[in-house]
Amino acid sequence: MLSEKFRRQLRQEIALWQEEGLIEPSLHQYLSDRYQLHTLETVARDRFVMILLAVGSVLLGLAVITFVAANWQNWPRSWKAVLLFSLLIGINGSGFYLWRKGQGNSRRQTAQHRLGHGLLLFGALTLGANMALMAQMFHIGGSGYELFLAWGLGVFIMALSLGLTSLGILSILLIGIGYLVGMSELRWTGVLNEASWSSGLLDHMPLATCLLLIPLAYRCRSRTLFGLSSVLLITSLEVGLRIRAIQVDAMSVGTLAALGFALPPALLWSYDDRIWPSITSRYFQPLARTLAVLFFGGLCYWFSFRWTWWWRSGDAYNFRALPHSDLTQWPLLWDITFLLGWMIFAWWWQVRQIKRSPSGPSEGLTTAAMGGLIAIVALVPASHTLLWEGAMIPTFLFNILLFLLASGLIRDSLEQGNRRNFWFGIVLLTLQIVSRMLEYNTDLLFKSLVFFLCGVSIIVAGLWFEHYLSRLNRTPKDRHEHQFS
Amino acid sequence: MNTNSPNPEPTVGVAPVVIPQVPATAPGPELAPKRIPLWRFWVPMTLQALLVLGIPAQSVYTHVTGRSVVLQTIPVDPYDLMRGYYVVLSYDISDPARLRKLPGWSELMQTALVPSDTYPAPGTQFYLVLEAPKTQGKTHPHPWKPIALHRERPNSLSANQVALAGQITSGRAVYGLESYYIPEDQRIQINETIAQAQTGVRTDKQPIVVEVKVDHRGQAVPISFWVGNPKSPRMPYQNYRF
Repeated sequence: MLSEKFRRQLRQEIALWQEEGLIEPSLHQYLSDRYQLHTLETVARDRFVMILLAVGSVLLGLAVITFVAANWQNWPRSWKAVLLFSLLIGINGSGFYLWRKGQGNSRRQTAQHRLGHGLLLFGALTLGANMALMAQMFHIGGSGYELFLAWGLGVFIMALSLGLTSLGILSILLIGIGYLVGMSELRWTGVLNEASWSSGLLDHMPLATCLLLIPLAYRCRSRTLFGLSSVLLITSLEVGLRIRAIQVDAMSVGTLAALGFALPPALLWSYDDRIWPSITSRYFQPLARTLAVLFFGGLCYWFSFRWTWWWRSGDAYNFRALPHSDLTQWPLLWDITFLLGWMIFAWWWQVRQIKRSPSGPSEGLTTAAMGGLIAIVALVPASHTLLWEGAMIPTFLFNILLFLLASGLIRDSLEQGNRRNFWFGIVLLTLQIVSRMLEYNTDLLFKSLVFFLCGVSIIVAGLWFEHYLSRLNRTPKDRHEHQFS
Repeated sequence: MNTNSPNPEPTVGVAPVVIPQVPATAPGPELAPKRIPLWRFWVPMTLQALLVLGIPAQSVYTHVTGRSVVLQTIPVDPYDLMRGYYVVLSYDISDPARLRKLPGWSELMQTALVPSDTYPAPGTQFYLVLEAPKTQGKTHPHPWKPIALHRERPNSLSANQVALAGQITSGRAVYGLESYYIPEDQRIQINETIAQAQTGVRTDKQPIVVEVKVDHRGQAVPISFWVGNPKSPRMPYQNYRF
């Protein structure tokens, strides 16, 4: 939406242009209509009315809540249940009708639309309060994570049906909280109610994210939802691999670590919106690739520390084994199968696209380089648990990977004039140098020299890059579609 | 993030928007979308309502169809017990050390993670058979007695027995009867009564007994509990409904 400030400035400007004879009165009228400059005065008044409405309804809500609280204990349980329930339906229902009625262009409709939207959001919060109070009234002492998961799913259904991003964000946050609370409970107590729906959802969170939350992001056309879903997908995959392993011998730990290292960047990098039949633009792909690079950078940086490799069996690395060792009973089996299948399909699709694409060679080079890095990242932990005793080889390899990633980013940024990639590459390089220096005991004089050189190089590189960018902009050329930003 | 419209960001899969020749009416995002059909609200609303009603449904079912059983709690430090707004009740049968003596324990122990473990694997589900007491107390009901453990729900039970479903957690057995939210107006009174009942005013130190209802699947809901009230000799036991 265009800002009000811009419209005010525009109004001043076009008045000036007309005075100076730069534009005809008809064009002035056209612009005034197009940007609705005549409504500018009423906007402020509307906003004031909205604030009054909001403050008033909060006070009214407080009045109702305190009235209810005053009599809450004396009311029979059925009254309380009916009251809570009708509050839920009432708030959501009035919210929806206002929101729907307000789908027009007039000022009044806009206000109704907003009020309705606010009520729908309030209704989503009421759902949680309803569920919690209902459980309390009937003395049901379930776990907190079940409440969050069920609440999140309830909000999810509404968000999907109405296509509301705000509800979608709330639902992903609730499901995410439920997941983390549930998994930490599982981690410390070792118990999940095996037969319940909630333990199934916890175990199959990666699959649930792919099948429920990613489609929600498309339904709401929201990058925020796509980003949050991807983060939840990767988190649940990593947590699941870590604490739901079926065996913790060297072979299994190596395989699990390989999956945990390579699957997230491979999935994110190969993601292409156009895989879906009805979608023709790469809407979420740049975000997915940014996340892939961030994950990869974080992974390489973390495992470039020597101490992270002091594990050979699961015990040392907090892997937790289930009581049975039968692969078919592995809770993550379906999720991993699905994700691996998807990954293979997506990479095949990438290769096919690159072959067809006119800008093939350059895009293909970046994707091939990324694919190579991901393959190495998968092979290192797998062979580490089987072949090498010490931490030296994997540490060395991951330092090389980190360096390659950083220089690849800088190279890519030079080619495309992409400032963000340049700085991410520079930050990774600097972090690597400084971390290695601090990790391995070096004397103070050397430390000071390293800091000095890093500082000078960053300043010089940054200034040079800006200069380079300004020269690049003077000779504009086609930008590649696949840059990270 | 734009929260004002269902279409806050550019459309997926649609060609770039062409600036219309006719003046557009609004600069904002309110581009008059199609009216959303009513079912798009009422279907999710119904599902949400079912979700809310589903919470007490199980409890109401057990309440209506269940059979009354009385359980004995373990004396708990009242200060621990009364922390916050709800009581965590611990029963005689919550302690695996007491369950160990019952027939059927060895069957449960087959799930142990390592043979040297003292408890079955966390998450193990079981059924505890309880038997009604021979005599009834004058002031409060006598608790039922645990007699056997089973992995599967026992099919044949005599008339004075019920099977209660439970689960082993780390070092404890839980039955879904552990939480009791105390009504605010009774909080101080209940707290005092329990404290007196358990801090040695009465030498026999009779702990709290809880009446629950158990349905045919072994699911249980708490109904009420009795606490000794040494202050009033006429009513030595006070009953609180859940």
